[in-house]
Amino acid sequence: MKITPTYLSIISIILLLCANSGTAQTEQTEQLQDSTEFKQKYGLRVGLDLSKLIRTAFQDDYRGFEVIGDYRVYRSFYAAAEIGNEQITFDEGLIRATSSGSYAKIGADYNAYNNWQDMQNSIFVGIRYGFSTFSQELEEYTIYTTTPYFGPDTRTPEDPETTGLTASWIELMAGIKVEVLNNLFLSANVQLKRRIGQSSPSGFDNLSIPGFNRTYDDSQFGVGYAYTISYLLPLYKK
Amino acid sequence: MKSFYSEKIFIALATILLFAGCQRDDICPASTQTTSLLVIRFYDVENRDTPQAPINLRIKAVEDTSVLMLNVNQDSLAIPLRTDQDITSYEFTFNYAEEEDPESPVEENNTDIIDFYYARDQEYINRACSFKINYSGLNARIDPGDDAAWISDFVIEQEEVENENNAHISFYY
Repeated sequence: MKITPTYLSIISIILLLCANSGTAQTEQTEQLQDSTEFKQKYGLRVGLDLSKLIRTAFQDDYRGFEVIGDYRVYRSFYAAAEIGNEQITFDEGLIRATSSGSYAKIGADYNAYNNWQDMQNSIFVGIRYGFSTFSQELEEYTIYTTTPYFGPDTRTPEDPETTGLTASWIELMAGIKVEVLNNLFLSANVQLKRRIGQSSPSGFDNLSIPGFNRTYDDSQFGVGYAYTISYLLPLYKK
Repeated sequence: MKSFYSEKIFIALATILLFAGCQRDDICPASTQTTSLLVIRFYDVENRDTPQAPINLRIKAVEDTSVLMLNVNQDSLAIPLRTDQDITSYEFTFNYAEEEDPESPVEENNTDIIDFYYARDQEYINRACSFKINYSGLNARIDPGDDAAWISDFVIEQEEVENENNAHISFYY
């Protein structure tokens, strides 16, 4: 019973602080606008996904490249897009299959972080529509049997590659962007994807999709991440 | 306050990522029906509804040196069919004795060669269980070998061999 008043006081202090900081900031911006008329940069930010480059260098079964870009449309809202190419190999257990192709993702980011003065960091959430065209090659597989009596029956298909496959998905992402040098940003984000459509090879399935990453059996969901570096080309200030 | 929401989403996504890495769909669960075994039942030839377990049955593929089953004394058993050929030949040896003395051979020892014929079709299951083989149009032929046949008759119960729920073939002796 002793703890309750302590808790209450802590909660009330936090609430007060939150309320204070909110009002303080608005006052501050108002003051700034009055005195110095501080303007924020608007422009096009372009960059690369570093994680894909690193994975390409160190992972044998992966090759990928992604260009990213966003454009500040209004205050905290950014139009954003990614274009990339990936080759992802699934090689676990009894199947080895490689998907390769290109993808594009378009959508928007919302910056939920209130910066001090001329800083441009962000904690953002985003939504994307992703689309991929790719091919998948079933390189080798082994028939699953419950007894090893006749030995493994490993096969390499005569016509391993299925081309002209497509997939589309909706993606939610969340991440942070930090301005490390003037107009140069490092960013990290995580992505949750839900597939809304795909075409699969006949008698097989898409084990991975460029831009979507590996798929999960009996699930429409996928996950991803990115570490990016980007540069802001300031176009105007407002 | 707004940034709290994005932080929450961030943490939620990070958690999902963490667990997604641990998903166990790369292991084929035993409950999944993969390539089916051939289910055989033995019956009494005189009383065809009565299951009858063979005595000390030995089963071995003709071209294989290793024995599949030894000392089988049950009326129902499941054996694999070849996934890479449309025929699987087995030696069914009734009352098999381990050490055969050429001077005094065990009289009851009787080997029949049974050829199972079928067509094969592959089906994708999932990434962990890979592909399975579905057999269809099952048929068999009994070759009595050097001695008389101990299996007098068979009936194909099910031409499709896709699961192990019911017997596919019945042998009468």
